[in-house]
Amino acid sequence: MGIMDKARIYSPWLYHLHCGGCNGCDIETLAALDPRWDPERFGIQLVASPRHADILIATGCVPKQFIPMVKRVYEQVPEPKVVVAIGGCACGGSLFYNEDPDNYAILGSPDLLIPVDVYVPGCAPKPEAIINGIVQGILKLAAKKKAAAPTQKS
Amino acid sequence: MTTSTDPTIMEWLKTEVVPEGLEFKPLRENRVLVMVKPEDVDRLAERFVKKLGARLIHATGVDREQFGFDIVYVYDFSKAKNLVLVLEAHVDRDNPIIPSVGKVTWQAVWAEREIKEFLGINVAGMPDPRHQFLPYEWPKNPETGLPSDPSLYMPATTGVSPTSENWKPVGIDPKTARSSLLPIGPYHPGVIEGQTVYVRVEGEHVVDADIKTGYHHRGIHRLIERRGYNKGVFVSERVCGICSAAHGLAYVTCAENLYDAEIPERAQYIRTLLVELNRVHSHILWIGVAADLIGWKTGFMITWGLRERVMDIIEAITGNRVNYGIWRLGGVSRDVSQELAMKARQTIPGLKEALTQLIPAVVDHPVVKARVVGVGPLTFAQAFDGGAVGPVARASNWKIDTRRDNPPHAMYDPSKISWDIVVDDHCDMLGRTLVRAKETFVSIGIVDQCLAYLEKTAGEIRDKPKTIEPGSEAVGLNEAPRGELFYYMRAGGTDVPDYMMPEGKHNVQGSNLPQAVRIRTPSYRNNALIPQMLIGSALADVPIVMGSTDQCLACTDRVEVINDKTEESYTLSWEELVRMSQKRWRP
Repeated sequence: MGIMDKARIYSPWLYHLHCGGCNGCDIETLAALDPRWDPERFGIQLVASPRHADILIATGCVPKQFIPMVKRVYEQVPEPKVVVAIGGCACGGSLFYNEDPDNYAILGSPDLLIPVDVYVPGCAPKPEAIINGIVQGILKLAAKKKAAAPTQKS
Repeated sequence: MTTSTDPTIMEWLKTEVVPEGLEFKPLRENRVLVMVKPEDVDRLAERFVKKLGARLIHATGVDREQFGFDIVYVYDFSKAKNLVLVLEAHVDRDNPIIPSVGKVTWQAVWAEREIKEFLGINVAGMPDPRHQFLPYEWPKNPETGLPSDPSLYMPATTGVSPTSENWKPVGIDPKTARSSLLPIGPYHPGVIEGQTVYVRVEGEHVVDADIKTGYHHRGIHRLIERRGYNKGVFVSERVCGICSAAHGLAYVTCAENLYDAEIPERAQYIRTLLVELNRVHSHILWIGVAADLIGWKTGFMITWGLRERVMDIIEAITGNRVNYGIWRLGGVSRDVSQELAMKARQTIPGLKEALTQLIPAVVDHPVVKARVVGVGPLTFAQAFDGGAVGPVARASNWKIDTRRDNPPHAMYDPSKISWDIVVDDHCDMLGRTLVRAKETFVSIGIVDQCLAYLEKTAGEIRDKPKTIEPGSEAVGLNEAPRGELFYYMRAGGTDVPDYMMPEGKHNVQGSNLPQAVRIRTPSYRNNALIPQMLIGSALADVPIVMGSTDQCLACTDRVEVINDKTEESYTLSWEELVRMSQKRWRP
């Protein structure tokens, strides 16, 4: 495992992808990063660009107009990457998703578009649950690193 | 909660305001429904807004299937009388066309685009016929893929001095732009949610701006319409997770106006308590976000740390932090016990003290002042013509507050709760910051009074369920943290009047579902004013100006939004304006 990989696992950076939804999970995600829980002492912080991120935090159901943007943001995150879906909408569409009759505006949860590694259910999940989800994401990131390690020459 | 409409107001309506009215029907509370002919609506709008000082709350439409459409205009007359006027015009299904109100008052422009897009009604002479919720480039005919007409961008200014007759929205055409066109969004670090703001910059200075929202359209109107009155409470809370209490209260106010509701006093106090706690946490949140937008991360961290103390009270009362789930028709579902109220009240002085230290530290900070004074100007005239609501309007020295003008079904009786409306005459970012900071303290005062009531008394918290008459209509208004929130509802099972029935038949749809639910959120109005505030500012100030309306796109795009700038309210010519803005920023 190279030094870059270690650094990435020890202080993963988050990009917050708001796919749709009501903003509730977004303020709870920000609240999880505030001084009461203070995950920044472990190097966990929000970054402004998906190209700098290791973990993608996806919140909300995906309205049809957001489909290309969600795909593109996911593609911009460098490998290896982990997607953490926060909230009921991101886990299964929640009350916005309607099968019969179909809700004309909503595609559904983001896992229909991008692979999701960790699901944090709740409407909205409490900050403790979100931090737990991020920790699970870090473990997955480490496992992905390990799997990729033999192919690395360093 | 029903109040019979004052007979003098009905007389005033019939003689002075709408002599053209075909039918006058008092609704519950201070609302009056007037049916008019569709060709009169623009003339009436001119009389209401220009002569009588009324304010258009929203315009929308109801699809009545084979019976055509009802176009609904809701005006607030609180400046003159205690009246909310619901103006309805019936149009045919075969040729649905109404004259544009947007050419009279710019407040109606977005609403008319919404009517056109939702219901397919043609609005004759609308100043901005672009798509509201769909993408601009959405093809007119999806099979051929031909672009819709008018296309993505409107031409830039033509040099004709704008009046209300020839007013055209100024979009930005990249082909003819002499200066740089910067699209900001849909994902941008300055704004969490998706929207696109096109700014045309000359050097560092914004000379033109346009906003396109609507990515967040989730079809919430339809979801409530098909799920019914009781389940709709939970959908309405999830319009916006930040002001969920305000949405819940506006929804129940509207639904309770469909029948004769008697809300127990204790339930009213609990409602007020929650809405005001919601406002406190939302305003603290905004101060933190604004600090973050001007690059002051420490301010963000301090305020969000303090906000957790408010969230603790909310969590103790409702069990939830974001969507409280305690709103019910006729009351609330959870009581606040006397011990809980007492415990919560003990935390209030500490919270107030912490805020007293913190908010002046943020608001009076020299770095913050340097970034907010004079940024994002919005004069009273602009705010009135554009229909600003909430703290944005109050920061432009406009004393409106729905809690006073048309109170929701909660305890805002001035004889029982003392509170003031905060106004400010700075008309810029500083004003908006000060209004929100002061309102935080006013809201904490209301919270304290509510808890003082709750810790001493006990009683019922929910009214017995009653039947909703088919076809009844109601308007629910509430002051959300971001401004006035509007709900309109029409009960299903409509008994269509005989004069509209073909062959003398009697139509009863017979379902216990609302026929129409319409929501107008405060951000829908305030976002529309962002381009006006942006013009003349430096590019670095764009995020904070966008943030200054506390924009909540989950609210705005409950279906979708777009905005343009009007030049109507400027007395300066375009060149003068550009020169002034450059003079300011180029020493």
